[in-house]
Amino acid sequence: MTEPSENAILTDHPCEFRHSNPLSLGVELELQVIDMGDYDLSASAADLIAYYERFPIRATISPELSSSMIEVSVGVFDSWHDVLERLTTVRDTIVSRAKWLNLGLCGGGSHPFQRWQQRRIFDSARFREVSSLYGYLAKQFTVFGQHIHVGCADGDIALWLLHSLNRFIPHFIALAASSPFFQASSTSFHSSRLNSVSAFPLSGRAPYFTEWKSFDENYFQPLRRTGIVKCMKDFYWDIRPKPEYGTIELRVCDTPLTMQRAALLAGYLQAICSRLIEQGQNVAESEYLVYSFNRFQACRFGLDGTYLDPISHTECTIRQSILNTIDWIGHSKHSSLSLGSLLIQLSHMATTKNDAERLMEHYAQSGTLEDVVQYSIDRFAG
Amino acid sequence: MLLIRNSVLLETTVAWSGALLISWLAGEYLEKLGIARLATYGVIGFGLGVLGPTEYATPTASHFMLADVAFGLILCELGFRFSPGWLRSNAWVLVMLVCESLGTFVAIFLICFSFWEMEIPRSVMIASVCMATSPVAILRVTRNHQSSGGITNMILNITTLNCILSTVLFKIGTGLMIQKQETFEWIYPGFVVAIVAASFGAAFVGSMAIHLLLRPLQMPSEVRAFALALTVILLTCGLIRIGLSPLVGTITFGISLRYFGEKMTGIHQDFGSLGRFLTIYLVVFLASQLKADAAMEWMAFGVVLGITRAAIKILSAWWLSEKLGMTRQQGLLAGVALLPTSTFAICVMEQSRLLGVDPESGIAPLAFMLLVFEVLGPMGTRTALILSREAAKEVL
Repeated sequence: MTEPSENAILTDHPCEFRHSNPLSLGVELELQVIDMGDYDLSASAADLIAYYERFPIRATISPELSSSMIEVSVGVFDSWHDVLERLTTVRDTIVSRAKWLNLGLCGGGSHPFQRWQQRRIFDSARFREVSSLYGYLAKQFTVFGQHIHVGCADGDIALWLLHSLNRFIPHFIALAASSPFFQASSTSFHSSRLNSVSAFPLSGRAPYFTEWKSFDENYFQPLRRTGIVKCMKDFYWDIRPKPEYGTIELRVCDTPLTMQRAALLAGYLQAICSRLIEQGQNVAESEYLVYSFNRFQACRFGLDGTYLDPISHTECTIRQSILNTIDWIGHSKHSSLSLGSLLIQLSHMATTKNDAERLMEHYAQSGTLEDVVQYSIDRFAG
Repeated sequence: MLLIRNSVLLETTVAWSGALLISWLAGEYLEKLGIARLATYGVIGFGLGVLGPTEYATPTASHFMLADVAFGLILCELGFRFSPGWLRSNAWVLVMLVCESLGTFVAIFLICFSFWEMEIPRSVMIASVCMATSPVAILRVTRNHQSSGGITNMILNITTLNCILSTVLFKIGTGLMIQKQETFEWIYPGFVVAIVAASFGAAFVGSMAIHLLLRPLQMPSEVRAFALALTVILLTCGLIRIGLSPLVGTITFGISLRYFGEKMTGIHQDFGSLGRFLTIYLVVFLASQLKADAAMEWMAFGVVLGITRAAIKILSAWWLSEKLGMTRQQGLLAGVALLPTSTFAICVMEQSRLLGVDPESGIAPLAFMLLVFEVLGPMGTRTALILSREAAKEVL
């Protein structure tokens, strides 16, 4: 994976997929900006970003659609260990700087009691355009996700990996789920965030193309000529290619409450991709038959959701499917100390409560959603 | 039926009900034209006091009690909104407080004492009222416009602190005045300290008690907010009854509730319709108590005070803006947003009733300045928050 050049947005020419180091990792976290006076979201992203610019921070911090959200991007790494180290360093810096402004930062896929009507769109040309197009959906999209990039050698591999990963999407949703509350209500979902994403017309799964040239000529360019999309950012797919980065980008994860979980999710994706490449197994569009069912189960029930195997159609829990996958990764020819450590921690993560369950448990104990926000802030700060 | 039999009470009730309805309607209409609601309420209140029937200019003890309750709810909300953790994270907030509050106090004191040759107690009382920002204006304007951001955060927290400081200094001024009258020699300084400390203590104990009572019930935020409103009313009346300060008490009550981990969802923090009704009443009532003749008599003095106060608050915020994590422009706007005052006049009324100090002899010279800031203050806050893009332009 390589850093994109400026203006890497696609031109009228065929969309080139840039080469990047295979299996390199990049992580972006969308974080909630909290007003420490009332624990609601604060429309302070612009103030916060301007303040961060005064100091050297080893991350790119950028605005998002909602002015109560910042996106932290920590660069390109080879291993999840490096990701964790950088995320922790950056987290410490940005949290302490935010405190200076009486702001809190936290993960979690949704703010428990914010009202979408009160949100403001960040003042930039692109966000104004998105807001104008999508109306209230833009403000309802005040949800917070973790995006994980994995480097790919070329576009064909990227699309093959993208579709091969369909089997594992429920795993990531369930492991990262941290949005049980939405608009001051308990949703009974582990990840309610993805319901907000699903409202967008260009969301869901990517169309089934396995060759980059074909995808570009028969799908992307025709759509762009119609004016429906301008660039790859206009797609809100669960996984989407990022040709300007030379990556595929997994977008189904809620932002976890801790840096540890965020780094482990990145490591899990990298390990799955590595194993898929090692095995070179074919993928078929028919696997998408159970995709929506599995996705819903993961959103609704988290790790205890039902998982239908896309190939054999056998049934187990998502938790069991993750443990099976960890076992499958463990049989890799390229096993290492680092991978062993990752798999142990992933097993622990799969057999214990996810963040959504922790938030619901905390709510049951404390009885207020403001306490849930405070808990999220404390967890994020480490 | 009892009400109908008492024609004086009936006339007063009708007069005030009508005034509140007219104020509310005018506030809503004029807000569409960009005039802050509180400014409209203030103008109508002043007009009623000067031109209206005697019902408005001759308040009863009940009127003051209702105003005290209204102010208590607002101060409790302000205290609850205060973030003590910020002072630990960013000590420049305290520097800002010293500059804008104590700076204002010292400058106004010197003007009163040196140039207008007022006595020390009166100078202290006037200077202490000038240092406070109106919590009513700050809370209502930020809530009405759903303001959110650095300036909003700054003015809410600084207002909490400068209100506490102002109250304490005002009590010292009152104590000095009473001592000077030689009617209660024992009253200062021990009595002032005792009043403030006892008010803090009573509110702290009260907040702990209500928190412990509510905790096992696991009630939703809106129900808990109702219980807290009832407690604030009891606290306000109780503190007045035993001669303590409801101002210090209710603000401490709000801060303590937060300290004990009590939480209220943002949408319920204005105590709903009760809070809105009492806010209109408070502003209209207080403005109706301003005296037009005093305002005219002390116009030059009021202009000097107003300019000095505005200059110190704006320059302090501008000078410290970068240390506080804001831009210079934001600092300037924060200073403008801190300008509302006038509701602290209730301080005077409270003191006059408790300690026998005639407000006319105390802060009558402030009438012109209070009148001007009653109208221009909320407008300034509203404009500053809109210019800084922290407030929604649309009326909410």
